[in-house]
Amino acid sequence: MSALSFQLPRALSVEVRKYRRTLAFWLALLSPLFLVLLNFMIYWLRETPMVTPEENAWESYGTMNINPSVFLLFPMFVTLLAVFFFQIEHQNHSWKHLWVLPVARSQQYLAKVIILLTLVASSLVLFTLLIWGTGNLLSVLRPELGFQEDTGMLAVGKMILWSGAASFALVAFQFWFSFRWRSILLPLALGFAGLVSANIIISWEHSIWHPYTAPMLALATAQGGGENLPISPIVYSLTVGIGIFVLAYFEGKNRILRG
Amino acid sequence: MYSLSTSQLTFAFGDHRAGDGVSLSVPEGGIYGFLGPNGAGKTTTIRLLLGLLPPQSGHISLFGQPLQADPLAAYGRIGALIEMPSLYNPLSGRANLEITRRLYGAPRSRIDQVLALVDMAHAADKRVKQYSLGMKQRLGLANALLNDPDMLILDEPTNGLDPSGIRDIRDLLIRINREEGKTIFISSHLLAEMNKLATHVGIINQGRLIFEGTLDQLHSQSGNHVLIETENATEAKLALEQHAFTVSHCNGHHLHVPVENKDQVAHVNQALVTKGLPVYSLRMQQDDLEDVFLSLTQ
Ligand SMILES: Nc1ncnc2c1ncn2[C@@H]1O[C@H](COP(=O)(O)OP(=O)(O)OP(=O)(O)O)[C@@H](O)[C@H]1O
Ligand SMILES: [Mg+2]
Repeated sequence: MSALSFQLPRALSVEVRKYRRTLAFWLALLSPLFLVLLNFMIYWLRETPMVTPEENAWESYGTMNINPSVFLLFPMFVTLLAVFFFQIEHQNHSWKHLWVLPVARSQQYLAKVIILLTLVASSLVLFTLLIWGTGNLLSVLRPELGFQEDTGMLAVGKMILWSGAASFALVAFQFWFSFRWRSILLPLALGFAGLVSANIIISWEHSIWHPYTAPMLALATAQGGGENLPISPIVYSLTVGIGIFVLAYFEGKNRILRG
Repeated sequence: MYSLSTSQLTFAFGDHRAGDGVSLSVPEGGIYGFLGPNGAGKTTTIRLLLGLLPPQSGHISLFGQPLQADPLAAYGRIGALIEMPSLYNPLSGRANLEITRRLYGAPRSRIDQVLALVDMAHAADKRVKQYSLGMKQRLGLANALLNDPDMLILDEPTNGLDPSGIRDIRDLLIRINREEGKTIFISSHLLAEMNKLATHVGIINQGRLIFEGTLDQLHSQSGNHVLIETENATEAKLALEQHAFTVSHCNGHHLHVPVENKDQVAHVNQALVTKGLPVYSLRMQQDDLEDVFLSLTQ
């Protein structure tokens, strides 16, 4: 058993090498860039100012970035990312090779979990930094919007942190689907079904039990709403997510060897 | 001493038995040819041996230890190549080896050694995407050799290669067997190939092991037959069957008749001549492996 603890760094160093400059890597980098640049252009170029006099510029700008992300782009991003992430192994028939190396299968799996979570987290950190950077740029380019009054970035960071943490279960489910199926169709379909259904039921009082609504509800909490939830969306998402990551290993580790 | 042995290994896909009581014994230091036609259960057996499929019953022992006892220790002493080599196509050959090397914890210098061993140093920095099938098989073999294993388990490593590629791999395997003393377990559906390579042979058909022994033992199981050239093989066949001979092969002008001794050859000739059937040639031959194989698998 003592050997196990030494295998994780080995497995991690391999995963880092494997994913450098792959589709999954670029997707994690470019997705936040795409969204923030679009919003930056509107805030900079639109003639009627995007911020009304009674609004805080940072909160306005943050919400314009975060809302479409949480309700649409981020779940799509996670779905695609997980698919690209595992296609590297499925397409190259790697599992039968990896599973007969003297590194425990569980350690190699754990390395995968850590790397995917790191990709998602890095993408969110980049998202935060981009909002902060472009907001500061706007304070120079359009001083009348009021970005120089530096009060709102903390609230923006909180929104991203809350909804990001609450997306743990969503990431775990998409990880499982992309791990267990060689085909990209099923994980994509399930990802979109999860996203659409979460959007439809979000205003229902029991919607919290659908794990894909957790980031949306956590965002509402961070924005000062969501008082009468039976459980914190973050706690719920973390609990379900950990369960799914464990389940996915035992359910998928032999299945992926077929074909 | 056996590097690998199994007893009564059984595995079914649904109700289709792909492995049916397979008991193998692979002697240390030997080259064990695992022969069988397409769909016989070779790949399935190899997946069982490596713990990639759970057997429904039976027992696997590697280097004298049950596989389940410490699979990672066993994996550390095995190099495997199953069906298509597992390679990351977007990466270079060297980058692929580096990934496997790190997981093994093998020394860095080993990469250039195995590249030289499989004669791939010239293409090491090309992307695997640009490799030919033969190059991929060699790189797969290099991957399997990285950890300096005691045993290689190879599933049809010459599949899809041209004759010179097949000869290269054969020479390489013989070399690493003789010079480095590695035990080799290799599956194939090419009898002639195993004849040139193997010291021991196991033959599997429809999930059952129908022969196991040395190559010599397989040869000694073979008998003799006469090869007859005549005008009409079908008529000749009828005539011979009236004299209680069996005809194993018959087409156009040629017949194969298994015989035990020279008297019987004369008898065959007489039977045909008395029927007025012309005999253009009559030759006694030893059965080759192909015949043995056919008679074992039918
Ligand atoms: N994933 C699977 N699901 C169902 N049946 C399978 C599966 N894989 C193999 N089989 C069946 O098991 C039997 C043995 O297959 P296996 O691949 O072991 O044969 P093989 O000896 O390796 O053949 P080949 O020379 O073609 O590689 C075949 O009848 C095949 O149809
Ligand atoms: Mg096969």
